[in-house]
Order: sequence, then C-alpha cells, then structure tokens
Amino acid sequence: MKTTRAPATVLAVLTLVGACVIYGACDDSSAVKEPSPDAGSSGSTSSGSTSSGSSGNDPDGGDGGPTDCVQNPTTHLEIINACTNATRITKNPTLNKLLADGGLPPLQ
Amino acid sequence: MRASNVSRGAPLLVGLAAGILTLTILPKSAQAQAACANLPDEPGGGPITKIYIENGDTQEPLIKKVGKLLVNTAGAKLRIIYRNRPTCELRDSLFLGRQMQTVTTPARPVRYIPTNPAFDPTTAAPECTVPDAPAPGEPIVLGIGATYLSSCPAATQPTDIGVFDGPIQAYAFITHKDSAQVAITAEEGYLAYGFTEGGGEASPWVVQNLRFKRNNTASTTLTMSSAIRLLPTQMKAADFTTSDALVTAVTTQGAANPNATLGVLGTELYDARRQGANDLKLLAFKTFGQKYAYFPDKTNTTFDKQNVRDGHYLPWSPTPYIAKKDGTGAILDPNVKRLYELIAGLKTEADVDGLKQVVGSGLIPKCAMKVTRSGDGADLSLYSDPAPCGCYFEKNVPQGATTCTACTDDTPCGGGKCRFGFCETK
Repeated sequence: MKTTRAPATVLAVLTLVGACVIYGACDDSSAVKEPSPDAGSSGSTSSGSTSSGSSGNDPDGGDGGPTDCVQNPTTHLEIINACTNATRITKNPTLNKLLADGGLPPLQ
Repeated sequence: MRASNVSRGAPLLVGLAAGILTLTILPKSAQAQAACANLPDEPGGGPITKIYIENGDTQEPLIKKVGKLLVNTAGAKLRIIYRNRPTCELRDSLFLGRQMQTVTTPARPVRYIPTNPAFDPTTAAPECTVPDAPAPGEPIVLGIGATYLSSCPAATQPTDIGVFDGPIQAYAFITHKDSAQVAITAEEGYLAYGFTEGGGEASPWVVQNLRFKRNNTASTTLTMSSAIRLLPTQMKAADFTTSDALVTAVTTQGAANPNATLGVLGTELYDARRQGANDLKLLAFKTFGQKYAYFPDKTNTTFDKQNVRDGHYLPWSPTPYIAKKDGTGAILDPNVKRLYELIAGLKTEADVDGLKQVVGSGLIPKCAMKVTRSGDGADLSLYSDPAPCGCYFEKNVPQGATTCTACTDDTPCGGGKCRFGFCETK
C-alpha cells in the first residue's frame, strides 16, 4: 500500500509546484501592486494579469489560478475577463438578498 | 483733494453698484437676451451660418469646444445654437421635425457659441431666446443623444431621418469623495437601486435618500440602469433634471454619510471635475459574470479609457447623431454633415481638428474602440475599426502617452498604416 501511495503523493506535489511555477511566470499580479485607493475599504486592488495561464479561454477557473484571465477572448464572458495590465479590484460581497443560485431576486 | 476725488467718483460707484445689484437680483430670464435668430454676424465680416442642435448634457463640453473653433475658423464660419436635453426627448424633436422653441417644464435654456475668441469652453455659454410657440426658420437639424435610442420608449423613425454613430460615452457610479468604497458590483447596484430603504441590504448603499439618478429619459440613467438590469422607472432614487444638480446633491447631501452616497454620472463630467474641484469619487464596476471590478481607465489616476475600449468596463454607449438623410443615406444638411464628419474624424480642417476635441472632451472615438455591442445591456463582441485611431487617442488624452511609432506616411509602419500621425496595424 505504501509503495503505491508514495508515487501518487510525489506526483501531486510536482503538479502543484508546476502549477505554481506556471502561474508565477504568467501572471504579474504579484509583481506589481498598487496601493489600495482607500485603505480599509470594500475592495482590494492590484494590477492585472497581462497574460493567462496555460489553460486558455476558461474564465471560470477561480481567482488567482492559472485560469484567472483569458488570453485570446472571443465571447462576451471571455472579453470581460480577458488578461489586462489594468488595475483590477477584488470585490466579492456577501449579499443576503440574492437567490440561492446567486441570481437576482424579484423586485418588491 | 481726497474728499473731492471721492465726491467725483461717487456717482460712478453708485451706478456700478446699482448695475451689479440689478444683475445679481434679477433672474436670468428677466435680463435682456438676444433672440437666437438675430445673433449678429461676424463684426465687419461675412455672415455666420447658424444651426440649431439639441444634445445630451454630457455632450455639451464637446459642442462648446468644436463650436468655438467653427465660429472662429478662417473657413466657412458656423455658429452652433444648442440646448441640453435628455436623449429620448431630443430624439422625439428630430423624429417629429420640431422647431427650436421655449421649453419650460423644466426650463431648458438655449445657448450659443459666441464669436469672442476669449470664450472659455469650460464656462457657461451665453443664452439666447427662441419663440414660445413653434415658428418656422429655426428647425432643430441635429440631435446628439448619449445612449442607444433602442433604450428609449418606442417611436417610429421617419424614413428621411438617419441615426449615425458618434463617439463613445462612458458612465459611472459615483460617490462622495470621502467615501471609503472603491468598487460596486452589478448585483450590489441592483439591490441598492432596485429596493426601497431596508429592502436590498446592499451595504453601505442602504439609505434611499442618498441614492441619486437623472430623470428616466436621460442617457445616464438609461445606460446605468441597464448595466444593473433595472429599468429607469425601477430605480428607487432621487431624480435630477441635470447632471450638475446631481453632482451638487452628491457633494452636499452626501457629506453627512459619504459611504452611503451613490449617484450616476458621465465619465467625461467626472474627468473634468477630477482635474478641477476633485470633489467626487468614481467607483470601479464589476459586471455580471466578471471576476474583478475595473475603473473606466487603466488606473484611477489615468484618462486612457483602456477598460472601456477593450471591454473590461461595461457602462458605456455610443452617442447617436440624429439628422435628416438624403437618398444615399448620407446626412442631408451640409452644415450638419460637416460637423459630424469633423467629430467622427472623417475629415479635418486647417484650424478645426474635431477628433482632438472629442478626445479632449473625455469621449472615445469609435475608431479607438476594440469592442462593440448592439444595445444597452447587450453582450460585447470584438470590434476592429477599418481606420483605427487607438494610438492617436492614447497620445492625446490628458497625461497621454503611446508606444506607437510616430509617422507622416506609411514608410515606418512595417506594413501597417499611418493614421493621425501614428502607425496603426491597418
């Protein structure tokens, strides 16, 4: 059992390290940080990513990962999440009135 | 001697004081104003052709800048007489072939571009009067809206009226300068504006009387409501008939609770204020399905409109130019055609660079855009202008710079094209 589990663990670690190397090489958001326009405010600010990770045109990969932005956008969703050198602001508020699926509630 | 001088000067001082008092206490409407139709021609010179325009108030800075050049040009002089009006109302003026006449509810003054070379386009243009009832001779020949006409209530477009794409106008959520907020999401905007006090729970924008908007037919409200998937009539907020009045409310009423204050404004008006009074704050915007919020510009200190141009910032619309067209679909009135072509960058005159005025007014020439869409709230698609001007735009905005190669012909452009002094890809 041990002999079969060890290679799997090594593989997982190598994969994780590889992903970090790829992300570090491709995303400059950690290289250039602008001070937040307003300390203690509702969002955090950073410069954007000028190129995407290796996985291409999937904007739904989660913040900070290899699919953080889209390199060659064609669709609406890809365009608004395309890689950029612009300041980008993380803003994910908790909104109790949204529907369970994140949709907009009907107006009252 | 001193007493004598005082006594001799006294009547003059009294007269001056009386004049100042008169100008101060009399309402503007009671002060003598020239009839727009009788505005004088160039002193000692030739005639000045007049054209009557209705435009969104976001377009007034451009009208004044281009108008000053046109009324003083060494070429054929053209005087613009204009009135600020919400987009859907000015559309109706053109669709119904209206003459310029007095509008009183609310009062919307008619202004003109003076021939005085010292006229400062950043100040108010002088007013003139038009008839109280429709009268021939002063037709409105051009309407300049500031959002998609499809966002207005339905109306039949006459077959002889054309709608021509003008520069791009961006809009924004604004707040009091002392607010700690940096960004707003589309969902927050929906919950803040869509519900009465206590309903939406989009903190900190939960105080209904500190939420502001323009009236329901104004382009600012039409485009911003669309960006958060509301109709203008569904926005629970105080209405204002002008952008100036809305700004005043944000800066004064908002002082008591800056974080809760929320308004909407054209970005060119915000840009003008951040270079002057610097009394507002623009919030970055995160649209539905977007991972981050973005300012209209690359950063909150630049003027490049990079995020509007490449699709990261959503609240924008083209400015439709509405005018009579000829049988080929071109603008019929030669003066309107001239004005439109100057603003669109389709032509320049020796002393009238319309494109430069567009850029200097905080608008974005269509030729500098990389995305487009069919209407307010519609999805973006990629756009490649047949005669791009992105390099010229980047260079000519405030604090502008470009990495593009300067050129006078195509030689240094490596297969590209020299346009407006810079190498473009085509």
